Amino acid sequence: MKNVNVKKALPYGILLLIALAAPIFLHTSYWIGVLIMVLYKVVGSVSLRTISLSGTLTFAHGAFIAIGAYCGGILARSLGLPPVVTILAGGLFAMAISVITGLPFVRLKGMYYSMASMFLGVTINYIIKALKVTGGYHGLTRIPKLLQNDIACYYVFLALTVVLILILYRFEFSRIGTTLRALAQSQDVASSIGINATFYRLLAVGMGSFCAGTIGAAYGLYSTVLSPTNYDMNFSLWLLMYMLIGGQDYFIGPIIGAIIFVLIPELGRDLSAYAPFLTGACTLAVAYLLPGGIAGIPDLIRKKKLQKEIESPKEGGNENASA
Amino acid sequence: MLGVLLPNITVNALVLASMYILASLGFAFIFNMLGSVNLAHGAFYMAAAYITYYLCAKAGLSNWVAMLVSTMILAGVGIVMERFVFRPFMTEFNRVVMVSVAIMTMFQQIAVFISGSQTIAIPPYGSGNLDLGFVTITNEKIVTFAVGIILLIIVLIIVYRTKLGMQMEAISQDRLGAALQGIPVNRVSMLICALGFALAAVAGSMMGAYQQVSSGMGDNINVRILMLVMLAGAGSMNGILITGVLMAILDSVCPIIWDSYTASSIACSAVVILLLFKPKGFFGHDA
Amino acid sequence: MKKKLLAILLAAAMLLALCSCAAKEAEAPAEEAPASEAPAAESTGNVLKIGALLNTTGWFAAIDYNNQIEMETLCKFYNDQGGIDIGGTKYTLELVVEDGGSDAEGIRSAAQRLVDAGIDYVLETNDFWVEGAIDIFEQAGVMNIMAQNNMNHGVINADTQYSYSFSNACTSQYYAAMQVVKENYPEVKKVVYACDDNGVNDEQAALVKSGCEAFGLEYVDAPVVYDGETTDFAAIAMKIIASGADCVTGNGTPDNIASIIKEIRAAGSDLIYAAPITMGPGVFVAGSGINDLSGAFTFGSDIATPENNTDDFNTIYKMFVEIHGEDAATGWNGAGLDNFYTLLKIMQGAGSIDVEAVRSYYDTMESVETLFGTGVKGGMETFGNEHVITHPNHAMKVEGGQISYMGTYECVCP
Repeated sequence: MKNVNVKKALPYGILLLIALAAPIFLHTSYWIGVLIMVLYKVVGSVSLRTISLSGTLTFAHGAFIAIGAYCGGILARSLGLPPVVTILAGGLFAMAISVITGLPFVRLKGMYYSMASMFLGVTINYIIKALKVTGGYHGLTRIPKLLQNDIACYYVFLALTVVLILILYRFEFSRIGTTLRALAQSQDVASSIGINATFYRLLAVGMGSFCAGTIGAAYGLYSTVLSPTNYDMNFSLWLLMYMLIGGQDYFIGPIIGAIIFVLIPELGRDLSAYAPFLTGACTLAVAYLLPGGIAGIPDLIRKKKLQKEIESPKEGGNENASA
Repeated sequence: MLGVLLPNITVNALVLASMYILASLGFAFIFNMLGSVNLAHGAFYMAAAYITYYLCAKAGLSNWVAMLVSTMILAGVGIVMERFVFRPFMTEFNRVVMVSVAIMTMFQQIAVFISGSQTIAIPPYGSGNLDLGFVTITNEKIVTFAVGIILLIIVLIIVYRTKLGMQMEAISQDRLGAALQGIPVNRVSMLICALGFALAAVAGSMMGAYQQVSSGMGDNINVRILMLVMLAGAGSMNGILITGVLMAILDSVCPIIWDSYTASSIACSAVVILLLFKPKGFFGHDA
Repeated sequence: MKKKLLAILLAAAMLLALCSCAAKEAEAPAEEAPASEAPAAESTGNVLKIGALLNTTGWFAAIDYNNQIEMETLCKFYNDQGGIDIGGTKYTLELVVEDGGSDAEGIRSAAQRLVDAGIDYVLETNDFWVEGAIDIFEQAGVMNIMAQNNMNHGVINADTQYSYSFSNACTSQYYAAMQVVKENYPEVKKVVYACDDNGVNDEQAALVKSGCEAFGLEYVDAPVVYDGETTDFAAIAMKIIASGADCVTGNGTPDNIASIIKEIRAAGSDLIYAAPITMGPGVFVAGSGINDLSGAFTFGSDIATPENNTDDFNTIYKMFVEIHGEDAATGWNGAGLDNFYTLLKIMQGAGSIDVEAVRSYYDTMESVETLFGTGVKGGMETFGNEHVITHPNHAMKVEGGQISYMGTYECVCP
């Protein structure tokens, strides 16, 4: 039993070690910024996965990160509240908005929910651009910085990331998570045994948006400027893509996806114009070759092996039909 | 002042509406028949505008010929997309999203490469003005609107009066049932995809002249397309005509009443609120 | 399985085609880069690196692309002479361009990269997001020079020690624009302000208002503020016409302004567009597709008459046209270029490339030669220090599709 846990924890342990050691090699403020960006998108993507547990994709996640970021930024800028308060407030505000707006929409299923959430995201983005308090299109500037030292900032961010991911992990592997997965299997069956689908899906939306808002608020305090163009539909779409490419069925999936796809454009800055082709190619490759995403590769290999073992005694079979 | 404004706004809204509807028909066809949400539809619309621009500016073709060529190219792309994206991933929303976002990203970057950073425009399809006394309309607007309306009528005839249209309707209601009735399901969906993409290409090429050709034009139209198809509801052609006009009116009137993004947010909020009442659209059947 | 293989093959082929297409397109800008770098490699080692914080991607790239190629031309101008002479030493110029991606966060990250690279002087784009990056430069002691528009944020204030602006400020350009309107378009009675949403619309509208008051024009208090990323300008043009004004003034990207002009003319109105931008009005003719366009002016340079310009300007402009062709010249901007040129002149005056030496020379100097004539210091009243240099403007109008020179207008920043 213990062995299984160690094996499960191993990839996370390795990732954490790399994250802890990274500033030793990448200590310029620019690279620290990139590392923080990785953490920020990891949490964004993992929390998006929490919402997707019940089987529906959301296209509004970037907007809730933006709500958290702006709420935290405005509180820190105009009221001068301490970071702990503004970060938590950002998370809670994002959660509140997501629950209020989610209430009518979570009843929708599948694609219809996704589309409704997309319009919601677009609308929130426009509202941020239109309001005076958010700085409008020009963006919110001069947010007080979390810590003057960038490396200290990074470690604070890392700690926050670890806490949020632990929360989301606990959430997923609790009874609620199981219920949500049951909803994904069949909402009708789940409802028939007395599960309140709307309540559980709203819970997932609230939880995911809380973590998203929290990390957004923290990021706002690091970057000191917020620009609404960074939270448009493409941002939400790419958070979703990190998850789909990394592997929707695996907790580690969005983490892997976010790390790889945030780092690709940074590896060769001179070639950054070509990064979209690289990311596009990777996406196509995953879509056509790896139905389970990158995190699904070990399972895929295991499955192939198993299939071979089963098939080797007698040739032929029906596998062509399934392919 | 209203006497000057009203006719102008009406003209603008009509031109916009015809183009919006044209651009979104392809999306609606694919959505109805194959259940795929083609998020890259705006990207193809943009690609058509770029191809037309390129053929005009670099190859020196007249803009009508260029538009025709780009329409044919896009129709071909539509066939390819149907065969390798929409059909194999018919039941898999996630993978269609992945592929379409990948295509969108790459197309946008190519657009950035081509336009570099300069203003590019397709030469206008008409020049001069038509003075009606109470309002002056540029011939460009008239031509754009006329092309839109003529194509719309043709499409409506195809959908409601031909065998192909009825087969399409049958497929969107029940694909398996249609196949059992002996309808060549794959060939029909391929043809309809080609038609849909071609219409988007015409809209892109016309709008590239009427407005601007830019790498952001795909994103702008994408949201519009999604909104008006969702508002209309699955399987509804007439609904798209109505929501297309509605969307165009919102887009022509809101910026006059409110400032910049306030206008956009009010227009979008209106759509979201409408969707709250009828989440599956106003005119569609329950698919 | 066969199906899958086919799908993969197709995806691969599509990608390859896309990439090759992209590579082909990218060749053009790639060719220009060595032009400014080649001499740098030959030099004996005295290289002066100047950072350029521009938006080479995003919607603002329409303006910054020209800023970039103009600045590169200036590098070539000096490097062809064997380098620029500062305090008896010849330096080869090298422009380090970082992309801000047209948003505040991108600008900040680009600023960080420039500081990390150890660059002492940074020339900034004339967009509105530089504000978010100022504290990085202030902290690192990097002398940074903004182009015009940033002025109104109070980005430069008594506390900012390293931030300057050498190109004309909006403060003076809106005022000068009203002067041009009064003197050249006597039929204009009412002026309305229209600009994309840039965060300082209120301040700019106030400038237009004071300009109107100074020259006896009526200011229509119904500012038209539009979404800079929109592609639909018909409604915006309607709003401008509905305000009842017979002249509209405002900044914006040249293609947006051109689209608005197109829609205004399409609705049958012939109101004047007073655009206080530094590009020539030729961009409007090209952008609107109206070949006999009338009733618009800008503060572009009078390229057709060399006598109206400084010698260096004529040489650099000739060089620019030789490299990039007449087509690129319609987008000639000059703002970023002027910043660069003025900075180098000040460095030459100081005889040093040390930031502190240059700054203390700046404090003592009276005036400096800019690319557009003698520049004077200003800004004490508006910003709390004299870190602003303004220069005379050429007012260029377009009538019947022909571009002509209307006169030179002094700009001062109080």
